[in-house]
Amino acid sequence: MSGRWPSLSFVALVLAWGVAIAFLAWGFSTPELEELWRLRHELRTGQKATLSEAELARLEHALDAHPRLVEDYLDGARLRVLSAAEDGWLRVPGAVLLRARGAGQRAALRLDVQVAPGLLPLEVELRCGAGRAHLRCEQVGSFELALPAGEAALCQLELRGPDGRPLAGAAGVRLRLPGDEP
Amino acid sequence: MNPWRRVYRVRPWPATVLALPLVLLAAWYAWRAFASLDSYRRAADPDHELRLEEYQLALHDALRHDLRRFGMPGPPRRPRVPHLELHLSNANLAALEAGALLPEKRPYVKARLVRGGRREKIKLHLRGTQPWHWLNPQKSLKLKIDDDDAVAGRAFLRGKVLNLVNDPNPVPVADELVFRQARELGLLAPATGFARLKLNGSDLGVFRSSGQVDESVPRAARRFPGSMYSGNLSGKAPADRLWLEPESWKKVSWQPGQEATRADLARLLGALSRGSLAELSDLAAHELDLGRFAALEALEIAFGVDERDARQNHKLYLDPHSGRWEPVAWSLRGFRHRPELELAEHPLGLRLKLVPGYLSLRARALHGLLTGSGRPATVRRQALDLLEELWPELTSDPHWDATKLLPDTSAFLRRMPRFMDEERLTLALEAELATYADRHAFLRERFARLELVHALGQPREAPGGFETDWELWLDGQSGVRLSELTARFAPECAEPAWQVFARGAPLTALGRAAEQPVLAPLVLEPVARLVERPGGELRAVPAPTRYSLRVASRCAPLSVEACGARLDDGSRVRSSPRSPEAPALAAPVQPEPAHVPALAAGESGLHPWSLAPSAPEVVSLGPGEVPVEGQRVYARHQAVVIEPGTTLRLGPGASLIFLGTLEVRGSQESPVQVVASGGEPFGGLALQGPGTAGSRLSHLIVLGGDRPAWRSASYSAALEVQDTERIEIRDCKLRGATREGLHVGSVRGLTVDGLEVEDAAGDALDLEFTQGSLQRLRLLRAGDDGLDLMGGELSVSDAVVVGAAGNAVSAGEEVELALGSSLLASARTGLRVKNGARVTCSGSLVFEAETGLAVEGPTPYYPLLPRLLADDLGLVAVKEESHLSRRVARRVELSRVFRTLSDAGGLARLRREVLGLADWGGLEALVQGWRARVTP
Repeated sequence: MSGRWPSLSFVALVLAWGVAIAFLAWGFSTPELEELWRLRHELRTGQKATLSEAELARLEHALDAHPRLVEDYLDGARLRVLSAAEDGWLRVPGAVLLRARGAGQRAALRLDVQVAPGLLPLEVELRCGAGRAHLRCEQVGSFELALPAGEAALCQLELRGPDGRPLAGAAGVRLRLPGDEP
Repeated sequence: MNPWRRVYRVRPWPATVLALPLVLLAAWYAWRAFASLDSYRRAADPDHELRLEEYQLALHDALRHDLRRFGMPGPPRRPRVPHLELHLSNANLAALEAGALLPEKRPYVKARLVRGGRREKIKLHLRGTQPWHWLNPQKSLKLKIDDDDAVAGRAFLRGKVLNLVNDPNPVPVADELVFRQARELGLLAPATGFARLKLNGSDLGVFRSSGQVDESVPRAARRFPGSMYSGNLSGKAPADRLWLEPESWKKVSWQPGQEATRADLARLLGALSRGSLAELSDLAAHELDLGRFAALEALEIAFGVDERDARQNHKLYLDPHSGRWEPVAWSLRGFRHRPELELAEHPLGLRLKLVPGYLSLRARALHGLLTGSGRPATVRRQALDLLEELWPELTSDPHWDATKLLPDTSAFLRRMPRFMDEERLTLALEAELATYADRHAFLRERFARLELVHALGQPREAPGGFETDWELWLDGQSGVRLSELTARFAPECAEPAWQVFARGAPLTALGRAAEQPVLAPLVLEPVARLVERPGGELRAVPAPTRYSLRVASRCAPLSVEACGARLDDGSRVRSSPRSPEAPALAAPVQPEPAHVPALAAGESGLHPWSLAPSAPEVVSLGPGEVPVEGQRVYARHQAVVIEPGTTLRLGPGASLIFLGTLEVRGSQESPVQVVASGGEPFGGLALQGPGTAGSRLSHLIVLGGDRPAWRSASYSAALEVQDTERIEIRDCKLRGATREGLHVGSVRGLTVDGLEVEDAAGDALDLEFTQGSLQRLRLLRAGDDGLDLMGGELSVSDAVVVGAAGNAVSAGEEVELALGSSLLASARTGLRVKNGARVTCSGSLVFEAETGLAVEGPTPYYPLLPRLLADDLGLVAVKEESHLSRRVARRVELSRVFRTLSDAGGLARLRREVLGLADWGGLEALVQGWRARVTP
């Protein structure tokens, strides 16, 4: 039997190698906070217009785990756009919004739509967790879109053109949040 | 045996040998990650409990850092930033590092600074209390230059202090970008840049370098060093102390003999904290450089800088020539954005916004920034250019790290230094630029808003027609300059003549045209009101400001509109009628000029029309006797003419201060004289400020005189000309001044043709940072230098300087001087060149001097070598022809030097035209006479 089974030393060797490699691999893997920092910057700079379900879930989890992070991202506001925007004008065809707990009740976004005629009608879809809100803009102008009720902190807004597909680039859409100056 | 089987059946010792490398490697990284994290914990927050995710971060950084170092190139062979080396003894190195544990007063240790083979003796200590300054191998340092004579050619530093800072900013060029913008705006700022350092041969990487905020700042900006204060309150002190107590400021620069006094700052703080609105406006008009205060605030708003609050980061400089306080740009960490204008505010900023006109100045400066060098695309380009310059240094920096590379889940993680690489830099840079673009768009939108609304009252019957109240309401960040008005009348009006009055004076002519230009530009300024933000902080915001005018017309007007241009961007503005649906605009409560504002919500600034208007006027003095008992100040709108034959008799200490133009119309036969009314010396005359531009002084004789005194301006001579341009002085005489004769500071376009200064107790003629030409000077028996030059560009010809106790001519502080056909006689030194001055000299004679030429080496503030080029120079009867230090010898080029008196070269013109001598034989007697003559 002794010829068929590895020696104890071999088992110990494999274990040592395994633990060491696993430890180093764990060290090389991107820590969650680092990934979060990157995600935030990619949203801010427009490298990402929207987040995948997995990314949304990861961000939700991080926000739950770190309440201070919510305060930092909101910076005193009740609702804030995390995506790339210049004074509310979206630089990408979508947006990720963060809201404080309870901020969504009866709050409404105002959208100033100034897109080219070829992009009309513009479909706007807002998802906050399981909640959905939809808006169809047949013409340019100012529109209101109520935030879906619910406790979800993160909301994702998507803009779709007349062909039903997400817009390719930045559209002339400005998001005004409750409390913004007119 | 099958080798795999041997492994399969390995025995303990070989197994240990096989396992050990990988296990040791893992253990090594495990320990290293823990050690670095724990040392940071002990430095930053000893009570912090380490968590597994923090440990993983430390391990991740340790592994990636080492991986990066595998492929890291060496430092660039042709560096584009200064490469410095520090050499310390082991004992001094140990003492330096021991200083890290001291919170303040860290001891200096001696070292040698080496650059380009040149060694300088220095002292240094660690600086900064945050962990990233002293925890890692790259420690922040403060270097003090020890040896004044060993700095030749040092271009990277002007001054005695060099700070090398381990900058924790993930975008290392961010601060530098803002500092460059500050300098472009004409703001004083310390020298900043980058440097790479080796310490005893060990590469410490790239540092952010900066000079100290001290007298090196104005000197580097070609300005005269004056009082400079640094305001930083400790955490325990009450927040208002900085604005009440001069002692809470540190004086970092001063004029000779004024190190201890803080009277200038006490005067400023007193006016700011206890002055009425009228006094505040007066202070702003005469003693504050509002343009520069507005420019710095505009810069901070544009870049989202929030470092200057009520307690921290204030640096104030009093320019001795203009007599005005201005801010020094400092601590410009920006690229932040919240949807508000001022991310931080302080009492000085709030008070400034209560001054009429300040908001427009700020709006104009901000518009210039946002549409010029502060456009997002331009800022991006500048950032990339700077990074390209720095790239070879950063990519080869073994200690490149930064903070704020994690989400703000805790202060511990937010401030944890992490190693940097190209990927992190790119992300951080793009995020900062995106933030800046967001802020830029926000500001453009907010500053574009401006409303000019008109409201016409009910017409009242009046003799000859109707009178109607007409109001203009301005609501915006900028003022408006009205240019024309338009009135409409009913079609049945047969005689539509109309006229508008503002402040009781006609604003338009009486006319029938529907559109009429204003007679003189009328500026409407917004008035600020203090409001409280959520959280209790105060902000000054422009409030709708009402201007009440009156329309006189034959028929009742249907409407009157105003048209003009915005002060910030020059765009056209047309008033719109107040909407009938708009809520009634309540007349704001206008504070009285004597009201002393508190820093509290509800206070508002002075309405510009609350102050008396000042129409231009001409004031004539003389001819004949004009007694002046005390100080007399002629305001900027007063043009003063002194008639020929006027004698101004000034009482003890009395002074005449001219803020507007002065024309002294003396003549050869009927000069204008300024004399003392009794035995006591009077003060003097001063032409102060840009309002005096174009002044002309002809045949003015000033007998005696000490120095004038006015507000915060610094005066040292009986006749002062400061901070102005295009000044002509012709055939004037100054005798017996108890200090200096004529002092000219920061003047462009000075013309002096014929000036005699005799028996001044100090310098006869003292010119500082002035550009112009002087000829036919006779400067006799000065108590110090005959002609003392500091900075600027000057040409001097046909000058006779005799009997100066110091130097006949002293050229310093990088002045560019062309000296021609001049006699420099009977002085300790004929011509002294120092502090990087550049002098060309031709056809001139140094006669009877202890030293003919003295050329001095560089100094810490003026590290460039001076230069002297002389042609046709006579050095006669001098004990020592030239005194040159070894280093400057190559910078002196003399051609055709004559040791005897002769007409060779250009000296004949000096003898004939300037001295009026038939031959050189009469020179000694002539000089003797000038030297000995005592003015009655």
